Amino acid sequence: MTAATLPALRDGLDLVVADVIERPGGIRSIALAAPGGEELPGFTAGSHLVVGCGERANAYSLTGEGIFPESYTLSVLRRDEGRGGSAFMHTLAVGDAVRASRPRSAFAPVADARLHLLIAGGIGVTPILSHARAAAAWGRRAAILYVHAPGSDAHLDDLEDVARVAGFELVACEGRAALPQALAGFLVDRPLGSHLYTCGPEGFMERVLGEARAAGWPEDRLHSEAFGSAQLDPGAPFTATLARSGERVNVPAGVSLLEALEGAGRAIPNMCRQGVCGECVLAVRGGRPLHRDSYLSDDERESAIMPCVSRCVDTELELDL
Amino acid sequence: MSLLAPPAARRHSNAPRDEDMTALASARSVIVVRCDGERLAILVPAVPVTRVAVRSIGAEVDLRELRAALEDARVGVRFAIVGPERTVYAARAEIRRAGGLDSEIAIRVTDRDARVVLCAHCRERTPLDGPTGSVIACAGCGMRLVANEHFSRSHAAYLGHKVDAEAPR
Repeated sequence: MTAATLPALRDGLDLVVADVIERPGGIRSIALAAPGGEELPGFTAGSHLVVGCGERANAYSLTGEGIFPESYTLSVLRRDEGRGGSAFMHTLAVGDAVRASRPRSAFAPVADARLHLLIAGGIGVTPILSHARAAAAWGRRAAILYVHAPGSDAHLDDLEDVARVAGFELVACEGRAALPQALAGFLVDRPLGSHLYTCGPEGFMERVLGEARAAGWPEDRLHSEAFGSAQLDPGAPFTATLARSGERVNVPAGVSLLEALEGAGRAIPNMCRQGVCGECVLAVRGGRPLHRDSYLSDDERESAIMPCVSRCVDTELELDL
Repeated sequence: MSLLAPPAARRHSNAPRDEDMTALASARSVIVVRCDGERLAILVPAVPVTRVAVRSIGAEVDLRELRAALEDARVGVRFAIVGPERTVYAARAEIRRAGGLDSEIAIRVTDRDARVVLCAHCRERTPLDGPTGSVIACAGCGMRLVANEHFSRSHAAYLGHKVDAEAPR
């Protein structure tokens, strides 16, 4: 399957690279525009774009505020140990054609929040910058905490610009060791009606959300966007039974259910292969799934599984295939 | 007041019921809202507690003490509201306007048949001490209204409409 046939890209947009900016820490910002310079569909803060990267497609957060955009700006951290999406993005040059989805919203602000607390870790700054810009554009109140590695403070200048103009509180700190103290001060004494948004590495977000819960923040005030860089453990082996054919597929430890099904000749529509996009969802008829995705709702988890990351609690999982 | 239809007309209802107190478990502070002098004992965690009183006068509600407490409310606070339905839900609506969420509000209703009816025709609010399906005279336009099972959380009131609006003439 080539990226162009992926559902999200089929109804997508043909764009060209309009600008490229190299930033410290292996981060590259890319502006994508319509070939004729037409206005692009607007988007909600925190939205992402699925971009065709050769044979694959990756999701990248947009950094703009989303109002009448002339271009879509995104920033990509080069990850040489990844599956090649970021490396592809780092080869693009101005004028290159790119196929992308329309903006998709999965990390939207709560419009009537009294205060938006925005907490970014590393490259997770991209949707946080979008939130900060949108808050400024719509006259909402925000406070920003940005934790980054020494010398890798991409977009800190942009955050400073927004914070200065809009009068937002901005705390930036270097290194993960600074997080606990910065968080402790940042989470307390916030007015009723505040909402918290965090994006960053899995462990970072766990820490942020855990501290917030401990400070009495209820789940409905907590919003997070994963970008699936976490290494999942290989898991225990199990057998998938395909209910319609009776076929049995073994899923060894370290092999995903999706890979095992593909190995058995099944073409499952899929895209991100990291539990984020929702493309590969399958219906479960029996056995208890071990959910490891960031896509399905609690209700959906009763009867569905994302085979790209999720496994089985039992030794056997029955799928509606 | 007369009864038009039995309260069994609950089939198409969003009328509130079955409230609980579970929101208090994760409190870092609690605001206890006592409505219409209700003294029922409620169990709150060992955290700082603020007490406010809210009182209904006819269909109007005096929310001043609650509003003052909401000015200073910080994330981590939970609310415990206890008392008759019309005052409890008016207090909840005020908390939600200030940014509070349902997951932060614990409710104990001591009297369900203490409602407010919102007139669909003149928007006046009329107190009703009785079940939905009751017919009352609107305090504003005098129209005879039937109290529907249609409840508005933001108005903390049941929709009332002209009792014979659909009768052939």
